[in-house]
Amino acid sequence: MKKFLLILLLFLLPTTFLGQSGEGYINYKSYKTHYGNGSSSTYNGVSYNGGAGSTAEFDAMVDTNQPGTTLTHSGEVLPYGTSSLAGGWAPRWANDYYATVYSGWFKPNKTGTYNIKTQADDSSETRYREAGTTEWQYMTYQYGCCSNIYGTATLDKTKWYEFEFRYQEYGGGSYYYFGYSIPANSSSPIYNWISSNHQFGTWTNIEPNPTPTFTNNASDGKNAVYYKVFSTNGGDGNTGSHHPDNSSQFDDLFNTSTAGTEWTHQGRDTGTKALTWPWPNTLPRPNDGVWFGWEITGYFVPEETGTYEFKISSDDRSDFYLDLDDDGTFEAGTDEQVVYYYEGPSRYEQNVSLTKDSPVKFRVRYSQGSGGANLYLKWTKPSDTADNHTFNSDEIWSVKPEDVPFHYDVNYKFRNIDETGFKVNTYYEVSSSEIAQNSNSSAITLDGNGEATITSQVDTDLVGQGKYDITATPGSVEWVVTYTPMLTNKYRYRIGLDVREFPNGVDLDDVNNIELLDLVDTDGTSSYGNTSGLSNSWATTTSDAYWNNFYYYTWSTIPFSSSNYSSSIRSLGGGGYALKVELNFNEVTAYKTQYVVFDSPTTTELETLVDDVFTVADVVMAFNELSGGGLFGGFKGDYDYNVQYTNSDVNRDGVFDYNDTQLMIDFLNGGTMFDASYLAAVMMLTDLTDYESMTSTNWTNFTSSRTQFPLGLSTGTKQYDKSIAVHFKGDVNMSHSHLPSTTQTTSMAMDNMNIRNSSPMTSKSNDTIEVDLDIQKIEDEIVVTLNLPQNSKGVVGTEFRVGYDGDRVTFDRIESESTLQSFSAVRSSYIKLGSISTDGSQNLNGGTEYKIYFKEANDLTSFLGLVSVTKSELVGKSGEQIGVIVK
Amino acid sequence: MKKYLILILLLLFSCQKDLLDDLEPTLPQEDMIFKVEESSVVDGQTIFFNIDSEVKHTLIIFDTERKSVVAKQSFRPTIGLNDFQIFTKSLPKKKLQLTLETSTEVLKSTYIVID
Repeated sequence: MKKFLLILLLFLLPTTFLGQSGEGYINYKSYKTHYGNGSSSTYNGVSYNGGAGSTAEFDAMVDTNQPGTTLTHSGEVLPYGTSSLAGGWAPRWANDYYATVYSGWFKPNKTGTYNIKTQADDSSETRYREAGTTEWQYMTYQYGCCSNIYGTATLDKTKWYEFEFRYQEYGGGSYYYFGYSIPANSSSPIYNWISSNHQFGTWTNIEPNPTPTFTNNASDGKNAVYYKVFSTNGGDGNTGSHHPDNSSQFDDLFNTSTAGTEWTHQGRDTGTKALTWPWPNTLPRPNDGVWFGWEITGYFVPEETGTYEFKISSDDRSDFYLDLDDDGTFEAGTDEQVVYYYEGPSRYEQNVSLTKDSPVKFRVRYSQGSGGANLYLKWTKPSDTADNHTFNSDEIWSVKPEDVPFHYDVNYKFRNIDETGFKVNTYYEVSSSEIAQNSNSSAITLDGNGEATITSQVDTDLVGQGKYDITATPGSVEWVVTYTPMLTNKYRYRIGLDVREFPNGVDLDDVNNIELLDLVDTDGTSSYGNTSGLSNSWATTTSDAYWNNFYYYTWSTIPFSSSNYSSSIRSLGGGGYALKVELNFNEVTAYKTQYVVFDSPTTTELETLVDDVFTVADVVMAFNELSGGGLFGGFKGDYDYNVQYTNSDVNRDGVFDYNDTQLMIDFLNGGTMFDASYLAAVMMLTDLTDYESMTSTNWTNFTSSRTQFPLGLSTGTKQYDKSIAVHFKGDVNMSHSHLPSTTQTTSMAMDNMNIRNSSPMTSKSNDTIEVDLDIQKIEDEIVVTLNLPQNSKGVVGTEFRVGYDGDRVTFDRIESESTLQSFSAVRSSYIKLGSISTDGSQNLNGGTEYKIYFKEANDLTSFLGLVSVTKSELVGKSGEQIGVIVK
Repeated sequence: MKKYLILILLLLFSCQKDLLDDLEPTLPQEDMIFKVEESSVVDGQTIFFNIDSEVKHTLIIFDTERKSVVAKQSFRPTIGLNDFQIFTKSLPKKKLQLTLETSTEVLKSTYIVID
């Protein structure tokens, strides 16, 4: 038994040990490969078979996505023990068909070029890379078996290197040995296999300089940069030399192998924050702002072609590089070292020739000791006439513009509604009357702020629009002819394009733009000479079998004589010309027209939402606004926001009048004149900017209800953040519609009344009316009695919601003593009832009583919860809500 | 020795990460409903409570946000343990207060959560 437990313990130890001890240990992973029986394996088009014959095949062999590969063991071992690099075996599933990967970090004992010797059965790779870099360097590799393999590695004893030594066994003997000869013996190597006496260096399985967490404060694109922050000189100035004298010392200062240097932060932030020192909102400054450094990288995207002059200023030191040869490195001592301010030499300003829209990678380094601190990078553009250096955030990018990832955020502005109850999908326009859900769209729930990132739902493929840009390049055939212009107030040229140059199915009606050398460039609306109001234009004429002709209108003659393409132009005499050119047709592409669309709620959810939004208080307020215009009509002007008229226009005819209030009364009574049967019939979505600036006259442009909102995608734009105000038909008092940021001058406003839709007072006070609730069972009926006592509040409208358990009771009838106009509506799970005085001539100061009768399906002793009162609302003459509690 | 090995084994396994249930803890139901401060209630649940007088009592379900009564039922109890059914389908899905009252005082109170 003892032996059994011991064996069990020994078996379990390596496979369950998950901790990492750090220095003195390395990690291992062992895989069962080849299905454990020698079979080949394929995943996603990548296969391995037999012994590894390349790095790619080795990668496949240890890829657990491969059906033939299974991770069987992992843990840590001593590097020079008999279970690892000295010919031993880390735990493995069997003696054949396995692969073992040893990994971790080492720091060699010596600086210089080591000679390396490995021996493995079967294939092996012995590789390393400097910590923080990505590309593996190979000491040795062998694809096959089983010779001594020799290689070299030039190492620095002050640096940590990440390593991965791996070998695989197909069948037969298996081992891996790592040996080396120190740099001092490089000319006559003396090899030793790794052992406790020949440890090679320090080994660890805990990353020596862990990568800081990436902080993302800006999206990739314009005015964004990547940064790294280092604590230098031990964080207190007591370690290493201060203030770099040159570029090389800057390299050392930001090298984590340098004593006293630690990489503390990394992330992406705005270029403005990184390069304009917006104190105190700068990039991170460790050590309370002393003894630190920044490395800021990104792309400079010139807006102009020509000579830029860059200028750097800082306290303490800095430099600025441009990777002008685009080789991925910043080379000191070349034109790439643009400006610098070292402890030794400095060059604050420097000219660089750049090309418009051609991104150049840049790097700014900044070192701060103690005392004052700042960093500024500025420049002048080629077009600048004054020596006035500025920072232009539009020319600073975190990545090349073409590499900016597509990103789309929607931000719905709700009010008093749980945003998380809504989901959205993205649809594309099939035709002017049909949309269909994108194949890549699955529902996304809005967060608590009404926001959602719908990037994954958007179809970003560009599709042809059936329109073509025509360009001309010098050729050998005269495919274009221009005729003598007619001069009225403009010049009118007839230009013929040979029909044989047109692709099948394309004619002049399909043309988006025509550019003929440096002679003509028009989309039919382009401005003339950059002068607004003097636009060129063109119109098609009847085409014949040989020529597609169009008229080109211009304010000056086509400059044939000054063209740079004189060899492609032949005068026909009399003012006509032939152009020896080839015509190129490029179809204009664009994103599909797409919409973000709310998913439909359930019937019950929609009923509840609409009855929450659209209540007797809204109807009273609407009547009040309409009736207040006096003998000559118009509005009373009590509305605080113009969107209230949009919400009041419940029949969607662009006019708010008594037809709308008639629908409102019908709605209170459960009628269907106001269609509230689907969300798109009641919800309105308006761009937030339009919403905020809605006027007393243009509100009629925003009366359409909808749940779909156009994405407004534009080629060349990758980042979107759309803010949309959500408002509702019938929500006259704005109880559930987004409130504009400021009150507005509304139509015929005479006085402003503050929106009277704040939560009604529900604590007992002199301003609150207590409604008595009684629920009794009388024979087979459950009777709900709501008694509004005598009062002096001038109540002109009441609304109650009585829920019922439709499985156990059925609604029967309502009896009301109200002297006002009564209304009621039967919904799927509740009854809405109340009364209203639409002209305010009557009120309920004398009190009233409502009785709601339900029939019980089963004779239950208990009826607690079979019916309930879930909403109560009392309204004053101006539509204001009066506090009410039900007791 | 056997004990020692078993102890090592136990130690080894106890070092393994515990499996944690990601689900939010569910509020338990409680039939003796006024014995707890808060409990979840399901449709048709029978609740029990003791009453020591035969005067008219009322069970009241109260919405503390609206400060309004949602539902109520008055009854003549028997002295001792009484039972009562609560139906939840018409009730708002939220936390409500349930009280047992006479015409003069609130005898018992608890919170019920309707899902």
